[in-house]
Amino acid sequence: MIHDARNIPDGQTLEADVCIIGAGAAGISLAREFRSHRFRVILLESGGFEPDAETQALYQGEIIGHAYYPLDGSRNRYFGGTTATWGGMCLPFDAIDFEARPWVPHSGWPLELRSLEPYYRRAHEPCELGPYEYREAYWTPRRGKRPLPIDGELIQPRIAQFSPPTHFGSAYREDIWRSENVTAYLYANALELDADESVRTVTRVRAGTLAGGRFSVTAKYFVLAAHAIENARLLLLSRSAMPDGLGNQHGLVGRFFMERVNCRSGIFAPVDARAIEPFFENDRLEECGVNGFLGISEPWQRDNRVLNSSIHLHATPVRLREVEQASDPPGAEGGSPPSDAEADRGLGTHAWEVLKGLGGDARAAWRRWWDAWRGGEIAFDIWQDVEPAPNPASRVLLSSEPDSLGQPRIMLDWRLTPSLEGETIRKTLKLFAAEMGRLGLGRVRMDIAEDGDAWVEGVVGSFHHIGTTRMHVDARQGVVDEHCRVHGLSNLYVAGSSVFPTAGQANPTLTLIALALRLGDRIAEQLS
Amino acid sequence: MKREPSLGRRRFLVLAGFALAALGFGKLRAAAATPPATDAAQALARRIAALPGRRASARAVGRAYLERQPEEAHVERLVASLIGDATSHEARCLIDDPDALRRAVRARCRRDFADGELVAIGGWLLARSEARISALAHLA
Repeated sequence: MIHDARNIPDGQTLEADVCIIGAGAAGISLAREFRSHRFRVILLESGGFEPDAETQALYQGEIIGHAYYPLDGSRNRYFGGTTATWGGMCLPFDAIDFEARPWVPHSGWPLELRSLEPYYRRAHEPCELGPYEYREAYWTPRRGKRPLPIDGELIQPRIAQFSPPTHFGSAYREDIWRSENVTAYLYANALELDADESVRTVTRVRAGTLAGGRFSVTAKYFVLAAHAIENARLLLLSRSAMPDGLGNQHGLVGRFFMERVNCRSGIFAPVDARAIEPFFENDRLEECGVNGFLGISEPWQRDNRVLNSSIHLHATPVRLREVEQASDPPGAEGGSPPSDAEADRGLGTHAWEVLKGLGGDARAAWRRWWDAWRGGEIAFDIWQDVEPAPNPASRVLLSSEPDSLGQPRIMLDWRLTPSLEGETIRKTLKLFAAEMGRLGLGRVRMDIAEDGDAWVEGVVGSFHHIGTTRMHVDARQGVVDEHCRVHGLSNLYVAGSSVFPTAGQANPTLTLIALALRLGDRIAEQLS
Repeated sequence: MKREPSLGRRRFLVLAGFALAALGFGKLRAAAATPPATDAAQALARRIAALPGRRASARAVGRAYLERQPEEAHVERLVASLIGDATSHEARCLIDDPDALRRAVRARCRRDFADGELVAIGGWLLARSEARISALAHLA
């Protein structure tokens, strides 16, 4: 069933066994799982079935750290949440992502990839993905492509699957509508969670509509599934029982906000673009969509003490003349200017001339470029997706400005950890360059400086909000425990990417849904 | 007393002259084929420095490399890092065989890639040997 919360009489209390706050990827996945049970579920959603400006404006907030997209423009506040606009890229986290790595402070999950794999498999269904299969060797023949000529010891050709992408709000509206035990309320904004006197149990969630109505929901279990930033915000707003917010006894709520460090770091000049490009194309197969990217081997990550990352090559119509006449890339070290008549040529151009002159890969690449002179097909932009280092100073806070419900808006202070992330970008790019050189596949130009933090200016986010209610068995190091239960509270759980202790190199949606399904099993078990 | 024939003495002198000339010519030939070590390194350096083609570019790159690695500004050592012992038979053979020299240098570059020995110059990630070749162009 689905109702409009604006029709709920003011002051009414609704009762359920489970109250889920937020109808996005996590909330809807959880609600669908509960359809097969008898217990009563209430699903609160701030928006309606379609976007509306007034509701979306509740997401507005202030950016005080690293430059970021407007907070009301990087997520969707209506039924289906941000699945309304996601790209659909899915793959599980890597085994190393779950490990406590000594060179990555605050890393380590209280669970392993192996224990999450059954849920990853199940998560394929709501995401409308193909088989739970991510081996490149499986997909390459199905794509009708030749394997990438990379041996995979250090740089690994890898495959991601693509959801259509499924808009959970459209695809699963009917499921909720027809459900006998799940009732969704649209236009219902959670305002605050109340706890009992001992602050061990959440007793109710107070909710309101933009029309002014106020009501509350009592339940045996509450699940915050409102989005990574909003989960933290709602805990921080719940100050009736604890002045600093529920679950915030150690000041961790809102901290460790993470976004994938997405950085264009250089250009790859392939010897033969036709041998490279097909692998990186998006293919829509009968089973699902797939595309290729390059991963970094786990032993190499360990040996070089770097973060997890991936390399994505985007074909770009760089014309020969532009490269030939290019001055040094931004931030590249200069050296002395040439003292002869060639002084107007940048050092980068000289270096390219040397590579061409020495023959081999660069000469062949140059010939390809020349051949493609009129066609425009040529080089690849190198984009690196780097796992952000968990940083307690990177956080969301409450601002003093209220939204139209009278609630303090959010302030985002996104901070990077340039020492570790920059080291990862540079080392990994050099590894890529060395491998391409060794295999005779092409040459790499690094478009970020060899040292310093200037590269940070070019970092953009991926609309992947992670952290803020991180998972750890120790209440002093995490907001939720290994079951996603808020430390110190017996019946409050969190679903979504806010519980991730580390962000991995993979897109977060499949993992957050897998965790939501795992949480669903736990709650169902407790209720039965 | 029997006089020795004067022709015989002249013949001896002529033969001796031929012998000395032949010896000198042989030495000259040997000298041309196996110059002293420094000369061999210099000869190889000149050949290697010509490999990049555009000399001005190679010099600019070489200068930038040596500014960063001033301790490498030494022709013999640079040649040794690229080819090995310049006085060896194999190295001497490369002086007159540009294709073999190019192949040898390219193999050295591949080893650099395998070892992760890269140098960023003007943004491009060069095998260290490529930078050293340019350094020779700058020094030559």
